[in-house]
Amino acid sequence: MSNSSFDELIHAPIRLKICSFLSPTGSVEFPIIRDMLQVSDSVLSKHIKQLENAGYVKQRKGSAHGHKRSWVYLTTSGREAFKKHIKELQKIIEVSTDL
Amino acid sequence: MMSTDSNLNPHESFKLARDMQRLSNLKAIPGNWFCFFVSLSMGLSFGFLCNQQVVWVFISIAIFHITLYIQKRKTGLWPFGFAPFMGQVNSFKPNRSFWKKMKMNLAVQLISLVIVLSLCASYVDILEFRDKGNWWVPIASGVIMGLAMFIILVNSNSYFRNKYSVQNNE
Repeated sequence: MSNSSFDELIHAPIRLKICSFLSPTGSVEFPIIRDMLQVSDSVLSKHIKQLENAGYVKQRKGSAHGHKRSWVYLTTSGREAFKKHIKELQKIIEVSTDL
Repeated sequence: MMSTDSNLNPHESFKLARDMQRLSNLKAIPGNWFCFFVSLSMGLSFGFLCNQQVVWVFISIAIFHITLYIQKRKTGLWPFGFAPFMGQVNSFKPNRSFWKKMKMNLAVQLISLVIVLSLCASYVDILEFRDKGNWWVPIASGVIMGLAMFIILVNSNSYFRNKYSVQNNE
């Protein structure tokens, strides 16, 4: 698929789930995403790192009650890319149903 | 081009994304305990306001903030309708169907506004009643306010739960 709106990076199931879960929210704590996606810390870290390298998500680190915490959120370009990707998926579905 | 580990077709991918958004929204809908404590906070603060006990008004308002803090800490998300920003969005195309999707929110907010304003408008009367020896009037006002808030919150929660429930949308 060569269309520029179709984002191969986002399209992988776990990364698509991460973006979809983050899209309606401001920021979400790392363990909440991990529990929601039912993946291990290392798997989630790997995928978040990939999205982070593309500039789609950012991590905010901090501490609360003596524990280190990490919040993940979609950047503006990440939201744009996700929206475009979903739009592209919709287009593909519409074309395939018209055929 | 980057290789993808996805074996999903566009249909499945779209469904996956939509379901995750729904789950995200569902997770943000607070439970009945949250509605209860928010309503309790509103009821108590209005009751104490009517009784001119300012310190207790602030203490009651603190219940609201504590409830909000616990909910945010528990789920990691702002409770639906209580985020200090626009909050959760519910569609891939929020602008196109914005007003359609917002009608329930607007209705709920309008009803709560009317209730709050009508009770505030009767504030002076409440004080007069109380001063005539009807000690129970501030308590009754607080109970009415609390109950009204609880009914509105529970109903709006159940509306959103139905709206985002995967089972009900299939």
